[in-house]
Amino acid sequence: MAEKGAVLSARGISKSFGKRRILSDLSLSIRSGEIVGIIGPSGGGKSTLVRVLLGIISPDSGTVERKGKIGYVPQADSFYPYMTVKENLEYFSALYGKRPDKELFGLDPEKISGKMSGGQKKKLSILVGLSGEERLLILDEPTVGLDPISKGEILDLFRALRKRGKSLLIVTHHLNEAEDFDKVSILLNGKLAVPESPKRLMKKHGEKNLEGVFLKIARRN
Amino acid sequence: MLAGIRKELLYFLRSRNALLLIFLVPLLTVAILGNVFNEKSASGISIGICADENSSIGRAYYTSLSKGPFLVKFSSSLACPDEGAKDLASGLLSAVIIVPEGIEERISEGAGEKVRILYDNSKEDVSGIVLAYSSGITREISENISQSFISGAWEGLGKIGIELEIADLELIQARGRLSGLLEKISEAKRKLGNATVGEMQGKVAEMEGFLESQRLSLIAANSTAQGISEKISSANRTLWESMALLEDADLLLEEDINGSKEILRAILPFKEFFSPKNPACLAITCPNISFGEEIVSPLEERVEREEEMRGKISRISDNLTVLGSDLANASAQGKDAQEGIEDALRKLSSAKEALLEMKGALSLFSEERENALTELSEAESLFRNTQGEIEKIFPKLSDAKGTIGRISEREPETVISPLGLEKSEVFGSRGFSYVFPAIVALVLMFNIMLISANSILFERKAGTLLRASLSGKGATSLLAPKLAVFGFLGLVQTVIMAVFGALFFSLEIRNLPAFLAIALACSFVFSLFGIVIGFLSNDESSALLSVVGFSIPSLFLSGGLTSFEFLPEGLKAVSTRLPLAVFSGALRTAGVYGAFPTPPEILVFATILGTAIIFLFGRRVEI
Repeated sequence: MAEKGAVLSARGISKSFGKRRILSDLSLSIRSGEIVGIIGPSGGGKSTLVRVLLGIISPDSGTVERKGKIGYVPQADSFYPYMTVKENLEYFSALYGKRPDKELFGLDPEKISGKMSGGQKKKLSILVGLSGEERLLILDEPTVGLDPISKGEILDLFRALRKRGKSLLIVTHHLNEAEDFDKVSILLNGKLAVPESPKRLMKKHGEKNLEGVFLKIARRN
Repeated sequence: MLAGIRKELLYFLRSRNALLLIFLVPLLTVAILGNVFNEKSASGISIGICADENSSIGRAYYTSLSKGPFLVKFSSSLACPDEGAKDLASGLLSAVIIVPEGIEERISEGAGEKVRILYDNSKEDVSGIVLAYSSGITREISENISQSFISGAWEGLGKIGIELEIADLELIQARGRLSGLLEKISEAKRKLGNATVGEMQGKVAEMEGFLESQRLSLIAANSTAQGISEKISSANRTLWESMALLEDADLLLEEDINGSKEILRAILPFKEFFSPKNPACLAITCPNISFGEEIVSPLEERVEREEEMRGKISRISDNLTVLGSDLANASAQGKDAQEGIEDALRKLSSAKEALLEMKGALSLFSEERENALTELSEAESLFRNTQGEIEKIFPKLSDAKGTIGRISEREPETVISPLGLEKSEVFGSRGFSYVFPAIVALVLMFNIMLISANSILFERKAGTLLRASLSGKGATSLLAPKLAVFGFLGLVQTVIMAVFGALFFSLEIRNLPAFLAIALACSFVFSLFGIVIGFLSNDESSALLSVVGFSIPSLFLSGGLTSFEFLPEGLKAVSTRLPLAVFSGALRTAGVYGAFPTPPEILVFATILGTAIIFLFGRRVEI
């Protein structure tokens, strides 16, 4: 049974590839207008979790309930660089049978997307992920490779989207950024802790930042 | 430097695909080319023979070629040359040998003939073998024909010698028979002379008849004369008897008259008395008759009549006397006549005897004439037989003349080499129109496959395909536009190449719509292969290596570098079905000959497309 108000609810998810267990009985729930960060080391099962949540691969056990469409923003610039911003958005919107949102968050619609800055490219990539008017957007390392200003712009975009009621599930290992998220959960050795607010986590583990929390938990496991 | 080397090496060593391709491509290449070039002999070279069903030359080609590395197809269909040319154009045949109808007859009549060979010289290695075999076989057939002709000529001359000897003997015999015939004719002529035997015999017979009739007439006349003489004698006798009787009668009458007269004289005085008018007589009872009237008058009348009768008798007697005299004269004349007749009869007998002699002579002559005629008939028969014998000699002489003519009139060249090979190169080794289809297929294979692979690889890496798939669209919806675009790109590339080729290299595409349709299908197929490679590759390098790994063996095995005919059988079966080979062939069929690909090629397209679609769209699209 999905949690009330949740746009995504996963329960008891397990996934193995051969003898290697990638995800182990994890559960996750994301509510509308909520930004949830999943942090964890590389190779910790983040990508597998994302695929399971997107429905690309099926879990060995457990269920995933989705309310509405889920958008996905890969780590790479996921659009066609030879097309303009407008053309990219039109193409992806057309896949859903919709017209593109006019709100471009400062992007020039006629600009060739491949020639934009890193931040703009990431912004476009995020907007592409919302072409189907998705309620939940899953983002994989959205700020990797961005300069601080660009990072700031992206974080501002997250906030703006939250204001619009969009839910964001951000997979990242940039722990500092996650401190601004509504909830954070640590994925370690295939197990996912119950998402909690960063402040509460820091308080719970007696750390000043999430990095400390993460290192503490990681050492424990 | 070392770190750089290590880095580059590590890339290849840690990419299983790259590693596989690095080792597999050279291995495959060496394996294939080793097989190709180690195989010295060709096999399965397709050759068509168009010849009459009963053509000994056509059969000779078939038998000899079948012993070589050829797949020989023999056809006696009238459409064979055209169909053969078509098959040659579409690559189904490497050469077509056309044996003209009635070639054997014309060669036997002394003509020098040529067998035509259409061959595809675009594959020089194959055409070299085809021409070498065909030339050798032609030379062998030609030598056989020459040998056969010379043997026939010798045999013919031998026969002519025998025939001439026989004719000579027959002519000598005929000459002898004609000499005998001449003698017989001369003899017959001599016998016959100028006589018209029939006419003479007719006249003799006529004369004989005439003589006989005369004889019979004379005999009859003689008999008549004798009769008359006898009758005259008899009449004379009768006359004399009559005269005697008349004399007797006259005497009697005279006596009677005298007696009557005496009576009259005696009774006359009583006449008046015994008249009724006399009353005295009546008074003494006189008879109631008139004595005068009834007795004297009749008596007087009687005397008168008898006197008259005597006068008549006298006249008769006179007349008889004259008659007797006449009869005597007649009798004398009759005797003369009889004597004349008898004389004539004697002469007639003599004439008849002479005539009989003549008749005998004529009979003899006639017999001899008959003999002469018989001899002439025999001579005629002999003549006819001899003529027949001579007539029989003429055809023999004519045959001999013909044989000698056939032998002597032959051009030495046609005797030495009666059969030649007329080589018609259908495709030149440098014919751009011929190689253009292969170029198109090659360009489409490289370009479209690489573009497709990179396109998919980019989408996979950028995640755009995954993002698009989250929209709920299936793989078909997402990949079909790519196929359409790449197909179109292939078409554009084909058109560019065709226009350029037409402008600068005199390229001719005979069936442009079919050519473009096949180019489109070719683009689709290689696009599908590229998409598969794009899904299987982890990065651009491995994709490129995959494309190269696919293309190099295709290039080697698709008949471009080495003809199919030189490949081992197992490899040949694979290589002829490779997409590059199939599309090169199909494009060639449309471009060079103007035909549409044959059903097996279309079947191969369908198989390739179907396999790719099943592979591609049957699986889930993953990042």
